[in-house]
Amino acid sequence: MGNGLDYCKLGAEDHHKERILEPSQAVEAFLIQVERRAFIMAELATGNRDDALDLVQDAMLLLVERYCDRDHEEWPPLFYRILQSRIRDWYRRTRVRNRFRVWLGLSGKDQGRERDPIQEAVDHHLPDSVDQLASQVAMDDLLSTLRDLPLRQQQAFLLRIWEGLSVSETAYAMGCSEGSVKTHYSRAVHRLRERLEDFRP
Amino acid sequence: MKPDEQAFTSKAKQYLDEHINHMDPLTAARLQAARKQALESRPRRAFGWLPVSTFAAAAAALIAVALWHQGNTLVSPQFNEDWELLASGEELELIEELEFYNWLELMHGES
Repeated sequence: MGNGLDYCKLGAEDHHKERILEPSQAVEAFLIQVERRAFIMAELATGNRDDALDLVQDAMLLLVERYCDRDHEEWPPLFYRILQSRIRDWYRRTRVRNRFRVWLGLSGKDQGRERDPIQEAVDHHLPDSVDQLASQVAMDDLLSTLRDLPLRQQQAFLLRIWEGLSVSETAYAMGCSEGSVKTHYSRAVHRLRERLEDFRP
Repeated sequence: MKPDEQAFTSKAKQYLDEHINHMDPLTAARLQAARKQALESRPRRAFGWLPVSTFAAAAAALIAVALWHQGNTLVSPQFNEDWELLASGEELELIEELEFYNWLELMHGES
């Protein structure tokens, strides 16, 4: 595997182990566990719900087609490696597309078309209490700050904190060295703590 | 990890977990559909328990037996002769005019 890592030796989270299930059930159980977190990660990275869904679906397809016979402990880093790679491809394509738009003088013209009225509709599930409202505000702040992080910092933080991958697994998923993961993660935490006052103990 | 950093990351994780628990039904349904589609693409092999190398070995053995069988029974002596000629590295011109030389030899014998 890439980076010379042997994932059989890595300690994955216990919730990823589904040895008593049939292979198809095990892979389904794994996807159920990760799909929502994967979607949020993709959405934070792309800022686009449909693109995020496409990226997650691609990652699911590839994992099932190519790697479902692998040891279950290998699935999390493999799945996130596929997803992160798709996200980076999405970034490259978007950058090129934007360059062409600027070059063709189309920037700004299509933006109205991309707006989704459903996404922009007023949310009637308003918080019931001040606590809930505060919680909602804190959540929005967190998501917004995460969205503003550079992609690599965002990936390192979410894979380590939320998905619970080890440094080695995160390095494999991100396709970089363990040292880079530590640097990106540390910068992400520093930046988030700087900006999120409500999260301070 | 320092205690205050630990507290910060725990809180962030808690908020993120809450966020996915309140995912809108439409997105949740689309994710579920994506998962089902991915699972349907799972390769189904009739002999999934046999490793690929077994198939490769079986195929190689089959080809070897077929060639051996051909070499012993089915191939005509003429084929072997032709093959020897082709493999001998003789000039192509000589091979192309082999019929002429055969005819010449025949005529010479008659005379």
